[in-house]
Amino acid sequence: MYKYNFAIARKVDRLLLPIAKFFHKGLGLTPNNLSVISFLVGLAAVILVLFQKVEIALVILLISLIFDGLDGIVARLYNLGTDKGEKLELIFDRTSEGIIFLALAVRGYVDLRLAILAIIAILLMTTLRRRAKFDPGFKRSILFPGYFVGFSLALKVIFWVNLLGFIINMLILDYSRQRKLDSKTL
Amino acid sequence: MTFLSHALVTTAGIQLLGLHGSDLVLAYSFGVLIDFDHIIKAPLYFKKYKFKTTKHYNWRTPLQEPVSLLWVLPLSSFINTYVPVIFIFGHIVLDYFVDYPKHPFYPYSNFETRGFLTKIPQLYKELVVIVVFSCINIILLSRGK
Repeated sequence: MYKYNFAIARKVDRLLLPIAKFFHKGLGLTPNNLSVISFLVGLAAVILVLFQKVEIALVILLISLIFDGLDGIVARLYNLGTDKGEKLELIFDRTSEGIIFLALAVRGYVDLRLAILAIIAILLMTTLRRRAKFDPGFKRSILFPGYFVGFSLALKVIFWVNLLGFIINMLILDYSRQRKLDSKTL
Repeated sequence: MTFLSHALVTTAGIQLLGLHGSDLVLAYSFGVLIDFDHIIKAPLYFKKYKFKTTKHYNWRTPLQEPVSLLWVLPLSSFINTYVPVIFIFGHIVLDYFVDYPKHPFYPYSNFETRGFLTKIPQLYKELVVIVVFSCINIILLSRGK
């Protein structure tokens, strides 16, 4: 699944490359600027959910996700990636995810407890994904199929996939630590 | 602790709480079958020791350390039952009576502990658990009938 997502990500990267070049070279935007724009656009999607304009909110969320992808492309393309930038992006991503799930709960599209559990599962997975280098990738983007199959089902999928991702990450880290220990004592 | 000790404690817990159906399956899964996580490290063990037996290999994974409550608690909340939390907690407590290195908070911390009552020989602790919980199970079973 990880390889599959990686392949998709590379195709999306190639598609967004001209736009990334335009934003950086043409408009002088840095990856951090793009992260902030992505976050603010994400907030607009939240407001639209609160006004029960879910269809428009999803379109806005898609734009937010495009900006979210652009910041990474610009960072890689122009070698502008920093630890601080990565942390900033992570905070923005998780915050906008959290509030859009809560907004869906506030407007009665999903159960509040389910929204909180989905947020917890994503946060748990996030705490280890950098060290374990595994991220199943099922987060905000699952809200798009969720529009057709129900947001509750989408959040359930997000919960299960991320909780499983967290467990897998724990096991990956433990396994690699054990391998290192074994090789030391051989 | 051994499979028998975990099975006896879990069975006593099931009888005390009067669990049936899916709760019973969850209780045995988190109280006993969680030990099957050892399989994960089998390839590493065979790579190092082949078919030799050694007592001190670290078979444990974070799945049966206190850190596992981080995923068991949300899971329990999701499926609307306290059973996984109670039985994995019982499993962890029993294991912490056995004297070998444990990493309760790994991968968040490398803190190591050997558990509780480590000076008492393992055989005594195991026997006490087996005798006490066998009696509890027999009493509960006879009262149930």
